[in-house]
Amino acid sequence: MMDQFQERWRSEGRWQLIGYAFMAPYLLLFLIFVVGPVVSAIYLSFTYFNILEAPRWIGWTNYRSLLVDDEIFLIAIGNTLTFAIVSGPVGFIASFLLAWLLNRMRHRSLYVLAYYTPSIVSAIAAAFVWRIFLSGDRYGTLNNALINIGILDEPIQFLAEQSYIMPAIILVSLWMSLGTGFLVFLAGLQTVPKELYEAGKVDGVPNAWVELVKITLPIMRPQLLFGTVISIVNSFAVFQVAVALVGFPSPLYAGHVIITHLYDYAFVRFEMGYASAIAVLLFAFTFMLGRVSLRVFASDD
Amino acid sequence: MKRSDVFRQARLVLILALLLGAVPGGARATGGEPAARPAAPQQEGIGVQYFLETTYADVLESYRAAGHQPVAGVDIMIPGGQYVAADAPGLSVAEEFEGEAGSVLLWESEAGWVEWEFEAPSSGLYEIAIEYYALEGKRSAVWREVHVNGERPFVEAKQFLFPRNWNDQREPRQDNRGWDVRPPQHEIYGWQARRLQDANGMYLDPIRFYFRAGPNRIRLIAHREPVAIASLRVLSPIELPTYEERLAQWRAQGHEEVSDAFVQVQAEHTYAKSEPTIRREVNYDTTVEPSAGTGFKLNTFGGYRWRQAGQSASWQISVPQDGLYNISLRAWQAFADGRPSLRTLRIDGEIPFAEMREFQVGYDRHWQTVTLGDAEGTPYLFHLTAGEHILTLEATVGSFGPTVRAVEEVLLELSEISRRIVMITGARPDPFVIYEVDQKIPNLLGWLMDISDRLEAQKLYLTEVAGQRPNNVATLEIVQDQLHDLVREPDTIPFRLEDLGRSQGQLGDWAVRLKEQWLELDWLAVSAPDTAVPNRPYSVVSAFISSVSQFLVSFSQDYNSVGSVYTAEEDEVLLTVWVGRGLEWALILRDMIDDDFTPRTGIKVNVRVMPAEQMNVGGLNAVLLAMTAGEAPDVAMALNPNLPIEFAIRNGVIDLTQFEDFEEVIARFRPGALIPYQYREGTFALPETQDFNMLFYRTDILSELDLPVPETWEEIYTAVIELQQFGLNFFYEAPAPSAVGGLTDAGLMPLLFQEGGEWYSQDGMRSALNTPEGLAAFKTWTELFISYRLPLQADFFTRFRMGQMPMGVSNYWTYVRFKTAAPELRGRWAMAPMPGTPLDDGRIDRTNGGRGQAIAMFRDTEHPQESWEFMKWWTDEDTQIRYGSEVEALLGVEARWNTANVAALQRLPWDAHDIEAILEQWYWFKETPVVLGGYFTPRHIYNAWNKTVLQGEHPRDALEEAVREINKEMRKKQEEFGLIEP
Repeated sequence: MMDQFQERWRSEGRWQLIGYAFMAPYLLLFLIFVVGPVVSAIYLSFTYFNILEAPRWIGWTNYRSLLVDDEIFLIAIGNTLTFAIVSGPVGFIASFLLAWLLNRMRHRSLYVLAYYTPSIVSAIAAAFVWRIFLSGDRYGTLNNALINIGILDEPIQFLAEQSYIMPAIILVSLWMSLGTGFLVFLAGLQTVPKELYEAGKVDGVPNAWVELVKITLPIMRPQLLFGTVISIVNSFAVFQVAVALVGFPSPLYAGHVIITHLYDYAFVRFEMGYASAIAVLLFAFTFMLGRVSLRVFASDD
Repeated sequence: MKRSDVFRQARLVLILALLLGAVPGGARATGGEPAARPAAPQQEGIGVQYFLETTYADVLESYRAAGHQPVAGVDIMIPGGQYVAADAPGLSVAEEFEGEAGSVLLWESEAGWVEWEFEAPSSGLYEIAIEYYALEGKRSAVWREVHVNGERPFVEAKQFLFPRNWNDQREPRQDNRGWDVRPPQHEIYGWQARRLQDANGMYLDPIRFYFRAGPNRIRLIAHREPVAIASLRVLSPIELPTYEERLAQWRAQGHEEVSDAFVQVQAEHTYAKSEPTIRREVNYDTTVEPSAGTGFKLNTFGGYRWRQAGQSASWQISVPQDGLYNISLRAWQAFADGRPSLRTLRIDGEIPFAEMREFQVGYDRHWQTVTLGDAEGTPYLFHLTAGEHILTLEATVGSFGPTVRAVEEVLLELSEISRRIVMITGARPDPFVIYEVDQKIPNLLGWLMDISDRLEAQKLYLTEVAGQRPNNVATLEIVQDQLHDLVREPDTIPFRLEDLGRSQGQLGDWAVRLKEQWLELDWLAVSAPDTAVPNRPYSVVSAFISSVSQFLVSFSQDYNSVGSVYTAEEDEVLLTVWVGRGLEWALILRDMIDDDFTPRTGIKVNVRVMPAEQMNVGGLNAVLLAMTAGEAPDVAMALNPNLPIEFAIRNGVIDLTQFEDFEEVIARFRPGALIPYQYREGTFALPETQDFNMLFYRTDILSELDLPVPETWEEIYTAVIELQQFGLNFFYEAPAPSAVGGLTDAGLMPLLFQEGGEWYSQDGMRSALNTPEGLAAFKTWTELFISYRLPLQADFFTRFRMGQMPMGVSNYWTYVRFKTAAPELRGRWAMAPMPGTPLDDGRIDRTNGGRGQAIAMFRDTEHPQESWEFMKWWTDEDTQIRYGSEVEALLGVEARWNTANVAALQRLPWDAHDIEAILEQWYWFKETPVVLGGYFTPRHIYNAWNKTVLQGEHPRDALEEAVREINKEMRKKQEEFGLIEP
């Protein structure tokens, strides 16, 4: 009996221990830098905290005013959802199609570099270029072109007029974020074994489209999952581009998203408790969406 | 159809023009000195001449044409005190001054003029030398203008500079990390004699003046700095012998090459220098002696700062025996343009032979040993007697001068061309109209081609001077291409003014850079011709080793701390001060603390540099984070003006009113300047700098359009309408949400204050914008953009340069840019106070604000009294003057210090006209208070503006909505801080 136990301990327990030892460095960092902040944010969201003075417990007040009393938060949620709904799927599909197309081309690496470059450019730098392109000055690139062609008489304030702001942000962040998803998809496409395509040919796949739906997509499930999660997280975390492009706070809150709202409370009003409540809600929201996409794409076999 | 006709016509005109040689300017010199000035195209219509002032080169040319010759053997001395006419404050005559007997003129002001008379023996060309003594002043070179017989003979005569003499006060001390601390600079007062020479170093020889036989008058007009003048001398022009002649003389005197001698002096050990700005530098190259290692060792001299013509430095070298020597330099000249740098060599104050008026140090990425010699590389011999000698090197533009002049002329002409085109087409040309500018401006295409030809000539000339094609001529080629494009398709010219503007910008920068003569020195040596001069080559291996060791050391060094890092001893007080400015700025502060503050008070200070954006509200504020961690500084400088009150309401900063002499200290500032730092009864910060909005205008365009400079808003409206009739426009910044902390409401402020309105109610509890005054101001503001159609976004700097916006309201930064980055505009723009509202008593109310940066003391300080001492010391007049002049001396006009200390501002080196305008504006200085929740004001004022201007909403509705939002937020914050019950 004893021997048996020791035997088991030796074989399984030790392996487990070694496993934990290998995980320990990451686990430690994860605890300190991810779990720790999340827990403290949850705590702070129930307090009044202005950074300079000690936090004071105020219960659900922050959440109550956030959900009931804060009109701007509703604008921010609206804008974020608009952003997510447009840029998420569009970005997802576009980068997949791009990857699929490029995968069939020669000199692939050249295109890969071209499409990936915007993603490694910092948001500030990208926004700087786009601000010149979209500038409301009559010598702004786009305005100047439109005026010279004769479409416009007066420059359009792309970055100040309410109706143009969100499209501008979406455009720029699509341009920037296409690269990452596209790279993952490209890698995914290359994992599809050639034999399957050959088998497909033998079995009489009529065209590339059918091949894509029947062979490529099912094999690429893990990459698709990753791509979705990335694009969701990205859409909810949109901030830098928006601020760099249309300023903070944006005109008439037209580019106000959840993170800008959080930032507004944290660093303009110094209401860290309230800002934490926003962060907690955002966390819960993204987490949920992540679970949903896991459901959709997780392999059931 | 019409388009192609016009094009054909234009081509015809061009070909004709070329065939007939009608292109103005005639033949170009290729190589050698380019034709002094290709005559500006003389066409009918508005005069072109008004912007082309007569230059010295023109005058020399006319002398040559008139056959005026240099006069020989004349040396007339006029004692300084024996002037015949004068109108200047602070003028007196001394029998004896600082060792100079006779009649010495003491000119202890920076204003007025003095005139002398002398009898010229014959008509001809003379030079003028002045023996002067720079009196204690603002540390810059003395500047006088010269008029001859009642007029300024050429534009260069406006500026003659008489440098002061400076040197390091002592060898550098080491801080407690073993790093060198820059030695303080001290001025060496004394008499100097100087032949008048071009302040910009554009001519190789001293300036010559034409005097007719008989009585002549010389007038000096003061621009800057007090001076004593012992004498003026009218002399025959100097004729320097060539090297061969000079060598023959030396040989004839029996001098011979010495053998086996090598005397070296390290360049960092200067004997004297003309400005405190040029200084010892640190260089980490492994071939430099002594090696800088991994620390901070001042082991070279000059570099980027030693680049302006006229800046000179000298070294003392002791020569072992009489004879002929070579002179060598260990130099580094890797300025990006790929062309040589120029220096003049003087030995004991004299240029030994004509070739030394300018020698070249070629472009090289690595350190090189340069032995002065001719183009073939044969070293020159210099005769030196045994004993001490002074070698002086002075930066000069010399041979590049003609090119700089030619390009500056091209710039003026391009700016004139674009101005004329804008006059025809307006600032917004209609794409469906063919303007035929090439017809309406006679010979426009020929003019453009001529400009391109002149650039071509300069390209060839530069290549000849440098001995090979320098990289920097590429810019000229780009501009030429653009010009050719315009000529090829003249109908597109009105739409490509932007291209033209870009060319102007590029050429302007190019000319500025060509004037810069960058040179860094490691050592100088005098050696016997048979002695080898060391020339350690660049080694990849040692450079690599040095980089790696520096990289390793970087892990243990604290680069944020500036200078010595102290730890508090038992009974000592140690303050920590954070500075949100660049390292250079902090270093000057550090020096001043060590030099002045610590010796005077016994309080030690650690200075740390923080990135400026971390000191702002609305960002990841470093002070805030440090405070939570208990690491907050005692005092922080360069704070965003919103920050002190945000901290004050959370008990983060200390109320300064508790100090006894508080009232005394705040008398240094404009009363309105403290408003943003006051909250309830307390004052929580002191202003360091103060911004201003001013009216900038193009004097040339306004005078041509016959427009007066507007004084009131009414006059502004008239001016706007007039300008728009010519297709020009006025600039008044439209609000735009910038990244955090932007003042989007700045445009409303003057209108509001002058209307008699206020931002907030008396108690600071509510917004006061919904008053009749507030509404009126808001309406006026939005009307500017709706009815007067001012552009909603525009780059004022560029359009002002181009002439499309000859007038506009802008700030301090714009001023600095016009001063430094628009050389072609020099003398063609001016600055006036803001437009205002006439008052009943006839004055004009120009009230406006302009927040600068602030200095504040933080809650956790253990030494409030000492911190207060520091703040007092810092905002003090003398400290501010010294800091302002040192920063400007070291970093140039772009670092002009806009101190908030009113008395100090008047003594900083601002131009008299500018300072007058600024002081007039500051008389009306008033700022926006910072209140609880006040950050909502700019935000919602902007939103209201956006709704009114872009969406056409009624201003009253938009403003009321904004006031509602502002009041709501203010109420929320007031509840949060317990000012009112929820």
